[in-house]
Formats: sequence, C-alpha cells, structure tokens
Amino acid sequence: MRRLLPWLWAGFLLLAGSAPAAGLKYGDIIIPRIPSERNTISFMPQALFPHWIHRTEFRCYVCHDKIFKMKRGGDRIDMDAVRSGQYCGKCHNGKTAFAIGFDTCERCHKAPTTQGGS
Amino acid sequence: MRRRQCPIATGKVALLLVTGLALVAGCSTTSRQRLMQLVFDNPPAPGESTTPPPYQGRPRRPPPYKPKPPPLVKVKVYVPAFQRDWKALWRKLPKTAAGGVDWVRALEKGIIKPRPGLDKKAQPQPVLPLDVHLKPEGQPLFEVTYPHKPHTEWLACTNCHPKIFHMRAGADPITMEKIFQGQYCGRCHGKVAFAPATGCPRCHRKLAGPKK
Repeated sequence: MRRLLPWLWAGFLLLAGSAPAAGLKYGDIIIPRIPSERNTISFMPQALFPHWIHRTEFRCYVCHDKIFKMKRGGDRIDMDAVRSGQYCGKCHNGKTAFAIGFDTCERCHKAPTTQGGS
Repeated sequence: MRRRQCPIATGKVALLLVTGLALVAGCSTTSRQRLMQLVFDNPPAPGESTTPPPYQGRPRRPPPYKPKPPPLVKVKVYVPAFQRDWKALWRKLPKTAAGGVDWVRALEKGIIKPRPGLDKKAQPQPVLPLDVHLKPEGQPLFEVTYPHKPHTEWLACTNCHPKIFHMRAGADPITMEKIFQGQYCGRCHGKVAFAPATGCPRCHRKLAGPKK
C-alpha cells in the first residue's frame, strides 16, 4: 500500500489536471479577457461560449459575419458592448435569450480554466 | 324364595329405567347442562366454545410513537428564464464515429430546428444544390466532392465567398496541410464543423468504400 500511494496520488493529480479540458465541448470558445484598467475582476471566470447550444437554436448565418467575425478573438467583446446591445447583447436581452444581470453571470462566466483564452 | 327374588328383579328394572332416562336426558341440552352442573364445577354454557380464548397479556412497552406526516405543501421552484435541459439535448443529438455531433443529420432528421434569423417570421435562405468536384492531379482516389447543399443550410454565401474561396472551382490552391493550419475548409472544419482528421470519407467520398 505504501508503494502504491504515490502512484495513486499521481493518477489523481493527472485526472484533476485534465478535468477542465473535459468540460469544454468541441467548438466551445473561451472569450479572451480584454486587459484594461477597469477589468480588474480577476476572480471572475472567463466567459464560455458553447457553440453547440447556439447551433441547435440558430443557423450560422444569423450571427456570422453580421454580429461576430468568424475568428476567435476577432471581436472586442466586453460587458459594456454587450450591455448596450452589441455582440451577445443582440439576443441576450431577455427577449430572445436570457438577459444579462447579476442573476445570470455564471451562465456565461464559467470557463473551466483561465488559460488558453484566445 | 319367590318373595325374595322379586325385589331384586324390580331393582334391576328400576336401574335400567334410570339409566335409560339418564341417557335420554343427556341427549337434550338443558337436561345435559343440569347433569353437568351436578357432576362438574362451572361447566361451559350451552352455546360457549370449549377452546380457551387466546392469551392476551399486557404489552411489555407502549407502541412506538408515530407522528402523522405533515401535510404536503406545494413549493414554487424558481426556473430561470430560457433554461433548458441541455444535457438531454446533447444526448439526443446524433454523433459521428469520432464522437462529435453530426449536425447535417441532426438537421435532416429534424432533431434540431435552428432558426434562420432573430425575427420569428424569418424564412430560411434558399439552398443551393450544387456539388463541386475537385480532382487532385494524378490522385483520382482523393477526389473531393464539395456539396453546397448542407453548407447553404447553415451558412450564407458571403460567409465564404469571396474572402475564403473564389467563386470558381479549382481556383484556390487547397491542400490538406493548409486545411490543418486553419485555412480554407479549416476555417470551420476542425473548429466547429467535423474535424478533417477524423472525417476523411465525408469529403473524399471514394475512400468511404461500399455503403453498409
């Protein structure tokens, strides 16, 4: 048992390390964080865009290229823009999709890792 | 002698008579009861059963206290707006052999009905049923059939033309290397559409072999 423990521990660490990657589905995008003076809320997880959920609801040409460029990080998406009805705010206004507010933060800001944003 | 013999005979007759009377009396319930009372203490009453009643002692401890269940109260569960069971939807979506979602089949079978616009009355754009055949020189097995139909179900013409692809067959020097680097088809395939590394026969249809 004493010989086995380090191996078990290593296995656990490996599994724990690979868990965040498993949380992402194919096509999911972690919206890159925009470095700015105002953006100091580092404890907030990055926003996760689940591509597949949006594909079940809308065809590609609804968003591309009118609202979003077909390039990850191609748009400067920040909360001010979203709140004023640009980018995600085109739908996430409580009419087409859930509205942006303090009760819905974690529905987007739940990226499993803060690395590899762009 | 005769005089002596006579009382014995009458005694015998009397004994017989008494016995006979007792037997006859024993047959009726009331007289039997009387007879029994004569012979035994506290004989059972005529209707009473002779088997003793089951023993009913005092319980050793009081029965456990079982409180009545409280009445059911209906509670309103807070359901966030636009919340759906995404996990169930994921299970419902058809998958490719590589494990990704087969979006073309999902759309064909009507499992998903993606809207063609933000406006609820928006109509889907017309589908272009045009197949483009790209034949690499000297490699007929790797001929590519590009179907416009499933692409135009999802994408608008301007998504690809003319920025990514020229509007003439064979005008772009597309290679697998460039696709893996994220150019041409690799703009979507390998990112949101099926990965080129696992979906060879979907474009190179001659590699697919006979259909099952």
